[in-house]
Amino acid sequence: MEIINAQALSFSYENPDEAPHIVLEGVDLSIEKGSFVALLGANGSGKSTLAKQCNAILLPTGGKLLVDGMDTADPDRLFDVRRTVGLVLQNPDNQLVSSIVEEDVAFGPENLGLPPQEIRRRVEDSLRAVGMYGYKDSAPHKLSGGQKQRVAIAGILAMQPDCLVLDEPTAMLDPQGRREVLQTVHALNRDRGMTVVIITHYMEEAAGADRVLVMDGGKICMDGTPREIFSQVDKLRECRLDVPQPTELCYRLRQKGVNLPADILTAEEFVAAFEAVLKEGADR
Amino acid sequence: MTVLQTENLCYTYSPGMPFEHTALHDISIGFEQGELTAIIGHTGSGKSTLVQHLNGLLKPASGRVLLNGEDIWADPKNIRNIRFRVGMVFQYPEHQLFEDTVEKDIAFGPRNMGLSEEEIDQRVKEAAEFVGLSASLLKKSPFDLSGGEKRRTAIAGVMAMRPEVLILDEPTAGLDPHGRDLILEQIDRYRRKNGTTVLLVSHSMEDVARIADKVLVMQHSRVAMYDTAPRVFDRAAELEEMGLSVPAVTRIFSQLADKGIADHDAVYTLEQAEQAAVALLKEKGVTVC
Repeated sequence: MEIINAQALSFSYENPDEAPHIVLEGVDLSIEKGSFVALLGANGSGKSTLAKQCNAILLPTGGKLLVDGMDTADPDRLFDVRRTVGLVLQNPDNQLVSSIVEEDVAFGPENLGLPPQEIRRRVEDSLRAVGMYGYKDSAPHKLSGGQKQRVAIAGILAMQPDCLVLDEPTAMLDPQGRREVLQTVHALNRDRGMTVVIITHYMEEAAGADRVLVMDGGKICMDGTPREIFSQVDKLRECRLDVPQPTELCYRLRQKGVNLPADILTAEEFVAAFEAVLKEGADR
Repeated sequence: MTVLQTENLCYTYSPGMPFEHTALHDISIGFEQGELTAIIGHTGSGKSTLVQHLNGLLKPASGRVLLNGEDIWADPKNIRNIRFRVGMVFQYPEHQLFEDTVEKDIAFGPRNMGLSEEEIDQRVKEAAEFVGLSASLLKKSPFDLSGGEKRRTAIAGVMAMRPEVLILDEPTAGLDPHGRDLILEQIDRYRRKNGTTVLLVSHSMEDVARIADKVLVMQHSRVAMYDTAPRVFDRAAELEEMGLSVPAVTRIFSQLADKGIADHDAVYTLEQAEQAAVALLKEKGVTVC
């Protein structure tokens, strides 16, 4: 079952004085329920615009986008679309509205007009899911960046979406905060079957996904497993992207004729493969 | 020569209040002329509080900050002048752009210094060139630029003041890999040309490893390490214990060293890793072209 289905999706900003600025151009994409997808691309490649299409903040100017079968351009389904796909943005400070953590998480369900017991249940459940229940009475501005971002995620979870779209949720965080947020998102995917689409500039974060999409110039130019994608170092460079350091090291050694696999992603994998090559050399 | 120095610098937020919090505890360090020092540490470790003292945005609770041997607070009326000499680029500096053209925005600092129009013009051109902004962009509104171009405009605005010390707080945050490399290269080139002392606050060890001469590690409001980059990265295990991630290549070589395959030398850039790997392969008789 697919939760997001783009069909020849296009989007451009109209400008009366100049030619329209095309941001998305004929994107065909289908994302399965329960999958964990990383979306990569240089600045200006159209990633964020695609994310905003997924919960109808922006609407297609050509083609269409179906969310769980609902056309995002259908005004009657707007609220259902937004309840299906929750969007988490880069800056946690822009997403927190209340002065107490649990009230902040309750903001969404309150707006759905749910009964108080149900709101309480959802708030507690969401805060537990992101590991922030112990901070329910804290003030958001006293939290670290990673904690704030997890509260922002809890606020979205309280709306009980089927799919989380996260637009660079870790860009403003320190390494510790990044780990916290990443672990939280992976746990939601694993334990609750939440579909996750995460936009990131950190290649190591993409290496843990089921599937990696690469955007360039408003189109999806690569689509595959992290191993398939990161083994294509030259093509990624053309899209102005990097590869994880262990992959890059492997690539450079392969250029020198060393018999290492092309699809190394982590330091541990590199060490194992490198050891094998050394052993082969010693045996010969 | 030591350009900028702190002596027993201490700072406490909200002293005497229930939220009292010591942010800097007895910091005595010096930064040498022309060196690039990376400042790393957890959020809350005191990095930003430290750099805000260096150009007088915060006043020490006790201790002193010396610029070329002189206490920057010797004459509090002179502090504006100190801020021209120690230039600070904040996090997400593009949020502070406000003029209607790129040119005017870069000129804002030099104009406040009371320079002649001719001098201002020359400095704007020079700074724009350093950050790779073409002449055609100078007449545009900064709000029509891409994120990376906006960031570089903001950095140029500080460079145009020709500070003796340039401090940048997370200059690469939120940029794509290409934009990251570009800005780091430009900063490196700028300081090599002008002999400027540069302090770079960063979370990215991989960025730091490439261009830093020295690394200052802050932890719990104190200096945990302050040494040349190779010596700091040599203590990879300690850094990881502090919750700071070391570059992946450093992890690879410390694992190889633990297995007795490689020596315990710090490897922290891709180039070093490549050389070290090739040397190991050749030693074992593996053909490398």
